Order: sequence, then C-alpha cells, then structure tokens
Amino acid sequence: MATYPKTVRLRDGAEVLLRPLEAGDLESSHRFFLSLPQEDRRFLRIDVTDIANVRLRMEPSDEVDPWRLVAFADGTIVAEASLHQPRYGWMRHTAELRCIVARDFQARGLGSVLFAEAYQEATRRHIEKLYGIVPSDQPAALRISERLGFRAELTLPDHLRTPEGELKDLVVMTVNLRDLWHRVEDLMQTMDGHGRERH
Amino acid sequence: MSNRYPRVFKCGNGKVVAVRPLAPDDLFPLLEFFARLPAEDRLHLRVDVTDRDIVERRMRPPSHWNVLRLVALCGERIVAEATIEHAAHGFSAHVGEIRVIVAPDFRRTGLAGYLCRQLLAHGAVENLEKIEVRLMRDQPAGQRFFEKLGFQEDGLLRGFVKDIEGKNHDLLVMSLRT
Repeated sequence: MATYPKTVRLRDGAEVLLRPLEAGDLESSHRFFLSLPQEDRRFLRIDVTDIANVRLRMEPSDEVDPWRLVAFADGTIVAEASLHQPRYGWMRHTAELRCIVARDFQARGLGSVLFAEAYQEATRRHIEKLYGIVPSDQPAALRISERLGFRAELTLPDHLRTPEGELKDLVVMTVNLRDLWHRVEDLMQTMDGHGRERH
Repeated sequence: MSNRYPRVFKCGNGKVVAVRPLAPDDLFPLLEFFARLPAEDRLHLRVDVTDRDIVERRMRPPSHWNVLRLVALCGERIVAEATIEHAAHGFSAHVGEIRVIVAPDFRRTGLAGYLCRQLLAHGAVENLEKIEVRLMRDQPAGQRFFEKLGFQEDGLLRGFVKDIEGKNHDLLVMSLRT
C-alpha cells in the first residue's frame, strides 16, 4: 500500500511531493484552481473559483468514498488526482478517475505518476472498472486517456454545458482494471530513472 | 411544486391512487413497498432496497442535488415510486435522471406512464433540457416502456453495474431531449 507523503522526480528532474488532500489544504486548493487558465476550468464540474464550492467538495459524503491525492511543488499545489467510488449500489465496483494538472506541469510525466498512484489505490479498493469523463472536443485529453489504456465506450450527447451556454457531448472512457495491469507495469518501467520514487 | 400535489390518478385496474412527494415519515411504507417487490425486480435496482440504512440515507439527498421523489399510494400502501433528480449546479445541471418502480399489481395500468409524465413536467419547470434513464441491459420491458415515451438509446457500458448478488450486467443509457 502506498505511503504518503512521498517525493517523486519527474522526467526533467523536478521534484514534487505527493500526499492525500487534507482539510487544511482548503486555501491552497482554492489557489490552485484559481491559477488554472479559464480554458482548463471550464470543464470542471463546479465553479471552483468560489471557495465555498471547494470546501463543499472536501466534505465527507454519504454517497461517495473519494480518494484525493495532491502534488506540491515548492509548497504549492500543482496537480490533483482523485477517485470517486460509490459507497454502495450497483456501481460500487467502479470509480471515476479525475485528474487536473497545472499548465506548467503538463507534459512532464506528472499525469502518469498520478495515474499510477490512482491505479494502486483502485487496486487496493478492489475496483473492477475505472472510468473518466472527457468532453468530446478535447482531443488531447481523449488521446492521453487512450494511451493510459482507456477506450471510448459511450458518448452522452449534449451532456455538458459550457459557461458560454454551448452544449457539448461527453465521452465516457472506461478501462477494466485487470486489463490495465500490463499497461501500468510498462508505464512504471518507462518512469524508471525519470519519474521513479526517490529512496 | 407543493401545490401540484396530492394528485389523484385512476389506474387501469380500477383502483385510485394518490400521488404526492415522498415525506420523511414514509420510511416504513417505503420499506414495505420494496420488500414486496419480486426478488427478480429488486435485483435490477441500483441499491439494495432491503437495507433500511440505505433506504433511509437516500431519503436525505445531498444538498447539491435537486430531487423530486413521488410516491403513489393506494390507501396507506405505497404502490409506486418515481424520482427525477439533477445536479443543482455544474456542467450537467441541465440533465435530469428519472427512475420509476411500480408494484406488480399496478403494472400495465397506466400508472408508470402517468408518473413519468409528472416527472417530465417537473423537469420542464426546472428547465432541464435532457432527461436520462439508466437500466440494466436485461430489462427489455423497461427499455420498451421508455422507448414508447420517446427515449432513445445512447449506448451501453459493459459490465458496469452489479446486482445485489454480485453479478455484473451491462448498463443501458437512454435519453430524451425536452
């Protein structure tokens, strides 16, 4: 089982600290969301510029048992990955994976590191299926999901409304955790020497 | 909304039911309604409705969800339950989801259709633009029912839902533009 906090080194040598999100991170988390470009914020589920909403998402829920991991660089949150597993019901064996990385830290391997951590947590929870929801007009996000082993399984028409009022389709990307095992092993190997855990 | 209810509906089996929003003291009649459903039907529901704790918890929806849960009562007995819910805010707040469960002796009486029309009318008041329904793939009667109401199949998620016995089923998603 993963122990936190832990420091990982990215491909370019930069170090980030990973640990679960804590109640005391409210303001740091809000600052992180505020730092995201409007373009990245527009596809978040809630208006994270309002600290009340950021607080709400950190509160415990009867319905969902979330796992949230944050990455810090120089004391600032630069990414968050989360799993959202229903506590009961017909989707109790599934979890939604969400990941947000600050622009400065994109394409540096941090997303892969967070994904590997999320995968380990999902395995620990005996989750059978992971899924992610991606707007259909976000080809980069769709491509990354596919590289991680997800495949587009269902398109929900007009399921997302942008702040400008435009309706867009959402793609449900899914992966069987068992099928994913080999891909994650490959991923970890490519990280060796670059994004491996520091000892 | 409250002044719309209670409403009275005469079912095709000759019985008259009162339809109104679920009230906090409906827990026991609701549990009894679920307990009397055939085991095969309970298998297809999204939660184990024989678990009092879960049923009770679901009577208190989270604050960020707008939920209308209607019950149809024949005398003191709940004979159907119908729900529409949508996120209070966020990028899918214009999408509602509906569910309808009817006791076997009140099926094919027009009650399910009546309840759905009530839910869709509520959706219109809430300015919802899309209504979704999620079913296990192996519920052809439910699928036909929603098709007749104008819902279209969006697609399937394979093995995405698990019944209370632990068996995986495909999840069928259907939707209706309002």
